[in-house]
Order: sequence, then C-alpha cells, then structure tokens
Amino acid sequence: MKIKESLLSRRDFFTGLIYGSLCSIAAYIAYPVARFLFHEKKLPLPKAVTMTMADIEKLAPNSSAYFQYGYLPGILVRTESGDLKAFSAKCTHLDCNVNYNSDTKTFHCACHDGYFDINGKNIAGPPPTPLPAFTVKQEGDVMVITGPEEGGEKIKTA
Amino acid sequence: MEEQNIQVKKALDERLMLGALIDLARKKLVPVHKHTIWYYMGALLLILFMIQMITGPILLFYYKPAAETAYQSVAEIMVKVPYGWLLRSVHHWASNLMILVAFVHFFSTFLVKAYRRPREFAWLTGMVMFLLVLFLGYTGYTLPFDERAFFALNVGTDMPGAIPVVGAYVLEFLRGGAQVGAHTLNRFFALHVGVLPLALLAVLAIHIILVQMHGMSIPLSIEKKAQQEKKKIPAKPMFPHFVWHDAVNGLVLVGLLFTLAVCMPSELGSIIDYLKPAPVGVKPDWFFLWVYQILKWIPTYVLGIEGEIVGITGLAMVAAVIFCAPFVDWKSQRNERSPLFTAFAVISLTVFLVCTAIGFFF
Amino acid sequence: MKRILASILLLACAALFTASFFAGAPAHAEEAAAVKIIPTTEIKTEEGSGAGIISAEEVEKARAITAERIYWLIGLWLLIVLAAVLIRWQLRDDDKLYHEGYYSREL
Repeated sequence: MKIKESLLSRRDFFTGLIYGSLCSIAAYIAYPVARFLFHEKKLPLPKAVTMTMADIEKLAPNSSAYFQYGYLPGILVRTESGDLKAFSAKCTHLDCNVNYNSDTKTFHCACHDGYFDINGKNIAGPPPTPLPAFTVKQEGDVMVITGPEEGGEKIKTA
Repeated sequence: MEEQNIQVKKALDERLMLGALIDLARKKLVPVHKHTIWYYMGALLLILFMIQMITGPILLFYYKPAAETAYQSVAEIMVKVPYGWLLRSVHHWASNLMILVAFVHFFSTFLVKAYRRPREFAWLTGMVMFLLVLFLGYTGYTLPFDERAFFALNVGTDMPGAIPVVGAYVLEFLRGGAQVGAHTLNRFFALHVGVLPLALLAVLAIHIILVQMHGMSIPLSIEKKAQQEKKKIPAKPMFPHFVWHDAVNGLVLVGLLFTLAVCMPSELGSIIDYLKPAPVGVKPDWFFLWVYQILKWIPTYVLGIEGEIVGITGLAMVAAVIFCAPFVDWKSQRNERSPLFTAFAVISLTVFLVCTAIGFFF
Repeated sequence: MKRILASILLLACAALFTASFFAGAPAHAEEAAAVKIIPTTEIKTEEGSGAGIISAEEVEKARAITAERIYWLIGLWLLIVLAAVLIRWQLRDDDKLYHEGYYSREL
C-alpha cells in the first residue's frame, strides 16, 4: 500500500534495502578479488650487462647483433666508422623487435613499417618516440652496457 | 516513480522473459513439513558450485600447470599476490563444504527414498555428479604438486589399478604412463580444470530440469500420514518464500566459508622429493578416509585373492547397489515402506561416519 | 540472374585465392633470417639478486591470522547479519500475505 505523498510503499522500500545490503556484501567481497586480479608484478632489470671483447670484435662494421638485457631485448650496432651503439630493440610503437638494415643504415620495424635512424631517432612511420639508448663503455677486457641514459627515454618497467 | 518502475519491468520482461521465469517460480510449490530442511541442500550445492566456478578460474590466472613451476606458482599465490591466500583458501574450503553438503544431500535423499518413481533419472544424474564432485576434490588437491599431492597421486591412481580386467588401463589413463610424473600433473590439471567441470555442468543442467519438472519429493511417512488424516500437505511457493530462504542460507554459508578461509588458510606442504619415504601418518583427504580405513582392515589375502582387489570390488558392488537403488528397491517403487533399504541406508551412513572418525583420529 | 552473378563472383574470388599461391606474393609472413646474438652476463641490482624462490617460512607467515583479517571478517559478518535480518523480516511479511491468501490466489 502506498500513500500518495510517499515515493515508495513500505514493502518496496524494504525490498530496496535488501538488494542494497546484498550489493554491499558483493562489493565487500569484490574488493579482495579485484586486488588479486590487478597484481603488479615488477620484473627486475639488471644494473648492467657485460660482453666479452672477443664477441664484440666479431661484429663487423655496419652490422648488428641482439643481446638480452634482463627481460628486454637489446640491439648492438657497429656503425661504418666503427663506433658501437646500443638501443632497446623494442619498437616504441607497439613493442615489436626492430631490425637493422645495413643498406639504409636505419632500424626498421616490420610490424607497422616504422623507421629509426642510426641514432635511434624515429624518422618515419607510426613510432612516437626514439628508441631508448644504452651506454656502451669498455672497462678492462669487457664491454659494459648500462640501461637508458639519465634524462633519456625511460624504459617502461613491467 | 512507480510508473517508471513498471515501464522498466515491462521492458526487461519483453526482452529477457523474466516474467515467465518468475511465474514458473511462483507456480512451483515446495511442501512444508518436518523434512523440509533437506530441500535446502540442493541450493547450497549450487551456490558452492558457483563460488568454485568463480574462484577456480581466478586462481588460474596465476597457477602454472607444469611439474617444474606448479609448486612455486602456488607459493607465489599465497605470498606475493594480494589476497591470494584468501582466494586459494576460499576455493579449498568451498570444495570441502561442497563435498560435505553433497554427502548430506546424498544420505538425506537416500534415507527418504526420493529416488522413487518418477525421480529415477534425477537420482542417477545426482549419483554421477556425486562421483564427479569427489573426483574434482581429489584432482584439485594434487595440483600444488607438493609432497602430499605426490603421495595422493601415487596411491589414488594405484587403487583403480586393482580393479580386475580394466584396472591396468584405468591406471595408465590416469597417470599418463606407468609412473607418476610431470605428465600425470598435466592430466590431472586437464581433468580438474576442463573435463570434470564441463561434465558436471552438463549433468547438473539435466538434474535441475528434472527436479523442477517433477517437483520436490515428499517422504512416504508424511504422505501416508496426510492420507490417513485426510489433510492436505501445506506448501509455500518457491518465489518469494523459498528464494528468500535460500538467500539467507547462502549468506550464512558464505560467512562460514570466509570464516574458515581466514582462520584456517590452506596449507602448502614441502616440495616433492622423489626419493623420500612417505611421511608417518600420511592419509588421504577426509572424504576418502572411509575407503582408507575399510581397506586398512581387510587382510592382505582373502581366500587367495589380494585384499586390495577384494576391498575395491566389494565397495564397487555396494556402490552399484546404491546407484541402482530405484530399480532394486521395488517396494519403494510401489510406494510401500521399505525397511530393508532404510536399514541399508542407516548402516552405510553409520559406517561412513565411524570409518571417517577412526581414520581422522587414529 | 542474381544467382549467376553471385556464382561468377564466387568463382572469381576462388581463382584469385588460388592464383595468390603461384604469384609469389607470400600469403604468410616470411621468416626472418637467423639473427646474430651476443651472449651477456648480468650485473644484478641488490633487490634483483635475491632468488625468486619462496620459502616455507614465507608461506607460513602469509597464512598467519592478523588483526586486520579478523576486522575484515567481522565487517563481513555484520553485513551478512544485516541482510539476513532484513530478509527474515520480509519473509515474515510474505508469510502473513500467504496466510491471507495473497499468493495462493495466483496459483
């Protein structure tokens, strides 16, 4: 029975209260479930990686090789003048691995036709930012490669 | 406001036919008598099954089903993933409660002879589901692949090997080979996550449709009493009365489940060492303790046959009688009192309780 | 007429599809040539150097009952009791209606 002045009958109000309390129980239990599903797992990246000079010497000018930097793929390039440059091999567009083209001296991403120049800058195609650069330094008889430079592009942690 | 309410109801009804469902629920009458409490067991099982179907796939987001990674992934769920301990414990306790309520549902329907005509197929589908639920419970606790799981795998797959004729094939099918190893875990994972839940869903659908079609069975004693006193058995509609009753029962069940999960979270045994001997006092999970205890009492050789074979064949024969109860208990089929089967049910219940208790405490 | 046009279109598509296998344009992506990989040794950071293996003690610690968990549980029970009490009140009202014949009229 509902009186003219009220929005709801007493019974409907009560039913609403019941559904409300059931929804609040559902939300109370859904919170831990949601936290469970959105678990941020931080994969560690190493401080640096080393390569033997013997392996480096095998790299001819104007050619590239890949290396593992923690969970990231890296690409090491020896330019025609003999300099060594290292970049993250993940295209900044949608994370495909890039390829070094020795004819055009650019990095090419086959997934969506993205291009980066020899310094890692994005020059054509969809990539929005340059390839993050690694520092390459010789220390004694090993080559030490460290993560992106300070102030450069930060590699996204997982 | 009320007009808007009615408009929303009409719109939903037109598209989802909810009105038809609610009509069906209103027409369904549930008898109210001193045994009505047993009618609640089915809904409790359904709620528990739904909880398992939610927590199971959620755990699957982090569980890595290979011999090398299973144990660490379960440890990761317990330690690293937020509320992982809670969801795993809820899944574990819900499985225990589901098996417990399944036993209650089985024994109550067996004792009141709800398998009488015309409910034979509801009984058969129920018995199939009972076995599926027990098997689901068993395959589930082998998945962490810890020490306890390893011995469960060994013993549990060895026992069907004792069945005459088909035993060797069953053993090899379950183990994925002659020995327990990584391939066994893969099989048990496939069974627990894929095969058994789908089979259970299919049989459950048939069971629920049959139960709705036939309505709730009324125990013979109550029917006869009503006939003698020429009174009608009172009945209340499913909607809204019993829907509310089921809701309250479900809420209390959820509360109990989370209490158990918080106060007694699931354990994780030690890593498998293939060369270590079985730890002293290793026992199967509680719902198989009755089998364990009965087999323990049977001597090694009975009339020249291996005790194991005698035990399992004997239990299988008793299970077959229970399975075929609607077709064997012809007195119940004629709606007459059947004291033999009542005694059989009471004895099986007593044996189950006593053997489980002895297996648990000694 | 429509059927003849439809069958011609279908045949043309089938022909194009078959021809693509012979035309040389690959229907699937070509495999990249074997890549040259230089092996590296990692210099791990302090946090990274801890092994990822979780010990039994950590599992036991995760299982321990804390005050926070008990408060959460009490909160859950309070909500459940509230809902259960409301539902039972509704049930009492429904029972009254049932005895007055409100529901049996529709059956």
